[in-house]
Amino acid sequence: MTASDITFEVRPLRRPLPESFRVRAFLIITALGFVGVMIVLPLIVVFVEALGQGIGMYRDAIMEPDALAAIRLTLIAAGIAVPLNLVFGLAASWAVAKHEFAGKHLLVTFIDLPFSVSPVIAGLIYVLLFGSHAALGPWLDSQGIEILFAVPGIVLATVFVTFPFVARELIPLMQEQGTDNEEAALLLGASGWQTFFHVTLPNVRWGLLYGVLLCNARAMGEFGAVSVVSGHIRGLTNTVPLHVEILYNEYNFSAAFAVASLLTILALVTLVVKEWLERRRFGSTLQGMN
Amino acid sequence: MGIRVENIRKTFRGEKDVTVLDGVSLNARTGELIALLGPSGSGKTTLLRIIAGLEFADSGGIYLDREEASQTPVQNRRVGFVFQHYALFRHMTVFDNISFGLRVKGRAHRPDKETIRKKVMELIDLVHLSDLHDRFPSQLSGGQRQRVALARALAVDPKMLLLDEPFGALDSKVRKELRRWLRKLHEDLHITTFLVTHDQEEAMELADRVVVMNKGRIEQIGKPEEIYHNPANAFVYDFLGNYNSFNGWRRGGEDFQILKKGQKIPEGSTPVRLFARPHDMEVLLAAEGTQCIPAIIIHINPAGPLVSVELEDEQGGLLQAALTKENVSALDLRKGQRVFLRPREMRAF
Repeated sequence: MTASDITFEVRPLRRPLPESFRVRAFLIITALGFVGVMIVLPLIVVFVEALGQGIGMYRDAIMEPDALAAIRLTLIAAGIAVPLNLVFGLAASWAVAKHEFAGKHLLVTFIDLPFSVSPVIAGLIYVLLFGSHAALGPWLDSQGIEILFAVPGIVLATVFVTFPFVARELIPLMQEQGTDNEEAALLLGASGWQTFFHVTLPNVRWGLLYGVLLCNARAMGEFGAVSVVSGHIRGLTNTVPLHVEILYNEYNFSAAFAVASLLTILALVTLVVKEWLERRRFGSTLQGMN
Repeated sequence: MGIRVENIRKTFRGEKDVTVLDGVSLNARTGELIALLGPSGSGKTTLLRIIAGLEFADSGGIYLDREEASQTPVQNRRVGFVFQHYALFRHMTVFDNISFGLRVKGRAHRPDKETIRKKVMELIDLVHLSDLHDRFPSQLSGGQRQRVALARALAVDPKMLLLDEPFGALDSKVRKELRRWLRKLHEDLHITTFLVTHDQEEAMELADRVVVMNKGRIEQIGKPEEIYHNPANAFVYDFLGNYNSFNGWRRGGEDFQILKKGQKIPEGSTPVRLFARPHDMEVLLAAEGTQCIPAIIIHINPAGPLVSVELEDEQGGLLQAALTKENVSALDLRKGQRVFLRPREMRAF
């Protein structure tokens, strides 16, 4: 057998697809072109428009009191919704993955509900629940508790739409890991809490961070549900996405894009961190498998 | 610690209820190594988990040093447990894995850092992993991981060791090596030990006594040699190795007789099922006596300490014989040859 025979045998491994250069070029250009037009171009437009009137205008648009109030409210809403869903997500996935109980399937189904319900409906649910014509409305009024068109409503709507992120991330991970580790810890004399903090939590830490990251991105970017319950009171019940919409509707394009660029930066940072976390998580799963 | 298990019953409820333990009783003396041997689904792992406190029996009692312990929480049973798939904490080094049981103790009982360090290093030496104390489980081989798991179990000074198929996930060479090492360790430490296994060789080699289990019941308890030479029933006999079986009969206290083709069982005798091990089969070129079975050789496998010969009897049933190389070449056996088989020793159940 000559040397060229050998290379001939190896080649099919390196190039499993027999497509010609033309076909491949067409496919690659189509894919890149589509991503470019649909995703990269709008991204660039956001920043071009935002900075179009100069850096001074950009800063003014962001430092304006209503914009700052919107940023603050977004941070408050995410700051409450994310920890709440972190605790809930951990508890739910722990319960679902490591224990058997009646109603488990029902719980998993309900965790998924916010994914399948339109955010507008999610907002409406709270209007129907807490609105002045609704069941709880008059009683809340008489107690002086404001939920709708106030911060609590926005937080509730945000919690609702971001509800599944952490749990959805952790349930399959915990199920895959099984209960051997926890049993080993208990047998070695660890209490339930020690087992949770020293064994269960470290085993899922990258998955948990990943879930929290996605949860946070959604909490800060949510528009539909929050829009319904907010009432759009400037400087009081506007979150960043709502503020962008108001500015846009007032034909204040450069300010709208300036504030929008904040959300875009958040998205880009999320993307980078997500990529990094996925690598970490993949690495740690590999470790566990070997 | 002496361990007594009394009439344990356990049924897993589900769409179809499965009774995994159906009235199991046994007694382990202090320092004894007992093997729970059986096929998968025999209930041996569930029994081990009930003794450990990871699972609870529907009825029956567990006595640890005569004290009823079925309500004792798992943390207080002082059990060293080793899992088939190691269950090492993947985010901790070998050192941290082994010291875990000491570090989680309440402040009043926790040894100081230096004592922990010394103790863990001693254990690491004991399991021959001195250079690997700062490695993570993913950087170790299967055999090394299982030794870490054992050191971790020993760190809390357990009163009993429960090993759940500890060598099941390892290749056969490492398995044999660890088996020898475990036997020596047990001789040195003398902790009451239960070993769950489906490998009869492993059970025979390691255990002081073997408990053969099947379908949630105990078929036989005894020393390895008792189990091997005097199996209590067909299941135990079957589980311990290959065999040939024939229809036969017996009259009064006389020897077993093999039923030949076309033959009827004589009046006044009882029909029996006869069993014989392949290495108890004699191959003859001509019929001798009344116990010969005519057969045709269908396969000869000379790879191994004994030559294994497969034969087909007149009814088309498969028979096996294990002969020495000398024997095979003296008889000049070939595939397709007609020969006669005569069992040297037979058993009936």
